[in-house]
Amino acid sequence: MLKVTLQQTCPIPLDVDLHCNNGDILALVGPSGAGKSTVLRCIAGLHSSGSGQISCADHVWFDSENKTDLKPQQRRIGMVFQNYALFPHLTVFDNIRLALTKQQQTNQHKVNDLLARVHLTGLAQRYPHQLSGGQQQRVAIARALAREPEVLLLDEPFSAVDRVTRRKLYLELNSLRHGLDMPIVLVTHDLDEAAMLADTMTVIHHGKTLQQGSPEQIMYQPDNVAVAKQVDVRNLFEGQIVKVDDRYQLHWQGVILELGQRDDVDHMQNISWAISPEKVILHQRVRPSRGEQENPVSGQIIDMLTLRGITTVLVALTVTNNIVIQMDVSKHVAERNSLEKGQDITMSIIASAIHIMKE
Amino acid sequence: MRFVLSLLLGCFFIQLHAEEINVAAASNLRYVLPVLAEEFEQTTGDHLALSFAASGTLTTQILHDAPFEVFLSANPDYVSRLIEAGRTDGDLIEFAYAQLALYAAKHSTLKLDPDLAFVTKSIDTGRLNKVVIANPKHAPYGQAAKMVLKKTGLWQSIQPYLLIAENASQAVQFTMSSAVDVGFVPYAHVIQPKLKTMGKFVKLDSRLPQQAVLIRGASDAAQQFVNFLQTDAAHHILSEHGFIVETKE
Amino acid sequence: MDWQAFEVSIKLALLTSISLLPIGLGLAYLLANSKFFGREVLEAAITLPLVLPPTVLGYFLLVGLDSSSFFGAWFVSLTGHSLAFSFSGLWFASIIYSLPFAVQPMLRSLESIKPEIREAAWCSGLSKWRTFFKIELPLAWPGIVTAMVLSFSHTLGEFGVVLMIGGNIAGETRTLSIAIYDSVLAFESAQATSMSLILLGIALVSVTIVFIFNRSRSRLVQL
Repeated sequence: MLKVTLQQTCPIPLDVDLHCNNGDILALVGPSGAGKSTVLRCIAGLHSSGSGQISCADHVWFDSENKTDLKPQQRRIGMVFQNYALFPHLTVFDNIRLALTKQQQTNQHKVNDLLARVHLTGLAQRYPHQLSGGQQQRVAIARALAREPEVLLLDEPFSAVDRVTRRKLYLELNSLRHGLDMPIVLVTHDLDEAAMLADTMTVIHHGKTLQQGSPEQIMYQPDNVAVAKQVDVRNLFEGQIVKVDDRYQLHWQGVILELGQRDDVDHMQNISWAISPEKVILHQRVRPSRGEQENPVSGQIIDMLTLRGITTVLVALTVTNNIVIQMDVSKHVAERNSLEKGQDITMSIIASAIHIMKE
Repeated sequence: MRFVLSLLLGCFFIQLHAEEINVAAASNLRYVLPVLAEEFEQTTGDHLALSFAASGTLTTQILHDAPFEVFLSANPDYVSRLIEAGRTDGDLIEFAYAQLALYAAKHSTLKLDPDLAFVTKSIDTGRLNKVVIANPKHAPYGQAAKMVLKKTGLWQSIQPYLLIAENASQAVQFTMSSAVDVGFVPYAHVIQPKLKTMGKFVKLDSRLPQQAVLIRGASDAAQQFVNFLQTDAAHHILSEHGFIVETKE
Repeated sequence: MDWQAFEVSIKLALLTSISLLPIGLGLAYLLANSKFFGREVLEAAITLPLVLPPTVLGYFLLVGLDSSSFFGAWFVSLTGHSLAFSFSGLWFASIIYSLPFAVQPMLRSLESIKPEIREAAWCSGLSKWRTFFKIELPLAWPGIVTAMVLSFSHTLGEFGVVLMIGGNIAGETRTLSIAIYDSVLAFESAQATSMSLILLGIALVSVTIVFIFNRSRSRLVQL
């Protein structure tokens, strides 16, 4: 179990609190400059923050209170750098062998075992410049594992390769991790990557960790607007809660949305809210769907974008000062209903899918 | 910009009008020559541009068309070289004799004597540091020093202690180092007030002929200077500065 | 042909470049990997001999570090000789004089190693020393060889400083460049020519070696 708390004001501000269980992948997500790599470097011992504590497997690696600050060599870490940082003058075999622990140095087979684990058997005598990007990344992982680390740190390890290779590497990492029982911290700015690989995710912005939870929690139920913005939540709006009898309403730009009975809101509360574009339901002309009358809104289609069978429709709502709401429908539904720009349509905003965030 | 340019050009032309005589002189003349030049300037109005260097260096430069008009050297070999190469105008004149001296800076504990007995004694007791002479291969003061050492039979025994300076001026400079006990230097240098107060000296029995020769293509003013060197006024200055002048001839 | 002077020159150049290996490497490593106050001042100080006329250095060594001075006296106690007029003095002077020729190439090649590579070594468990010997040194090797060859050739051609503090002692401070100078002054042109050609030949060969070596090895470091 890896536990990290860090605070500092310079060179970049940090206010970090995260943890990762053995065998889990923690994705550290945020925009460039948010501090993700700095956090990783602190865990590795390459940077010392002003104050905080880092412990892994019950070993305290950093503790500002009692001035503990172990050097990277004294911590059992495996780090994969963004550009892999392989030793260019050594063969793949020697790159890995150099990282072996003292006990394993004499073990003839250890390097070959590691190579087999990352599916690079047969390439032991090649030099890094003779390898493809994906192969280099795998050597970097093998080298990181050679040390029998207590935590595996990956600094945007997929950013340097093309998409096709990246997919392959995702699958490889996924199968590899099942044989590993250490915490794995993955730094990435790619939300899809995080959603695909991570068991738990932490959003970091301007050096501050905003929320840690499963990817579903974070992306569909962000705690607050700051997190929502980081995970690219679409249909993010502001509104006010009004209680009528024993039910709640959401007053939004002149539209009244019925929320039904909820226990997460109060009367006269100013809140932000979001709804997944998948839960904005088109009132189909051809085939009316159930729940059609729930929270109806109308507007005009101003744009449409299709990606892999899903059409995102941008609709300017008439009542609300032309605020744009996004609606995702499958491509064939869009075709069946002859959706096109300039068309007037009505939609339902499903109450149970409305996610409320306090300021 | 154009104003500056024409100003510079103007200065250049003004320069050309005054007679400036380029003189190449061996470095042992560095104290006496400026005084001679000033005297000459006062009487004729012509200005001397003086260049001091080792005679060998100057000879090579002149052989390669350096724009000197007069060459003053203590080494007759170099002068005859120039004459043989057809670089000169007229005959050489010997205008003075330079003298050799022993000089020991303040830090030196040696007691100097002109017969170099102190050297023998120091070598015997093993208490001699370095002894500096100018390079006998090409510097006249070095050759003179070597002759003196050979004459007193010390040339071989002094070898382990010998330092060779590039020229007489550097020989003087080296005597200032605390690693050097004594040097064979121009007498004209040691009688200068500065050096006089910084050490002790003794004159040696040695004469180095100082020759002057006109370089081919020299101006009349240059000839005037060479003539001036043989006047009483020049003789007076030269002997004041440690040179011997033969007033006959 | 003054073979004794040739021997002195070669000996001086060899000893100087060998001495500059640890000295230059140490300084280059310090400048490449640490950020400390006055770092630029140190780098400027090391580069100084490049731009100063050798006469300035010679003057300083002759007068400023005279045996009566503190450092001069220490030098005498250490080596048995004064700083001026001795081979050890020339050796000392050459180290200073050729220092930038050693440090600059080493520094540039150490700097060209990406910091991640050092960090990866540390994270893989290598101590700073092991990282230096197994990773940085092999990668900086072309720069180090360049530094050695350049300081060798540079010392071989040293003249101004030797002229000022050498004292032209046969077998000790009479280097080939001084011998050439004396021959020229004494109008011994045949001697001067043959000695000059030898120096020229050595300089040409050594600089060519540097270029060839760099071209073949530098590919690796570009990764």
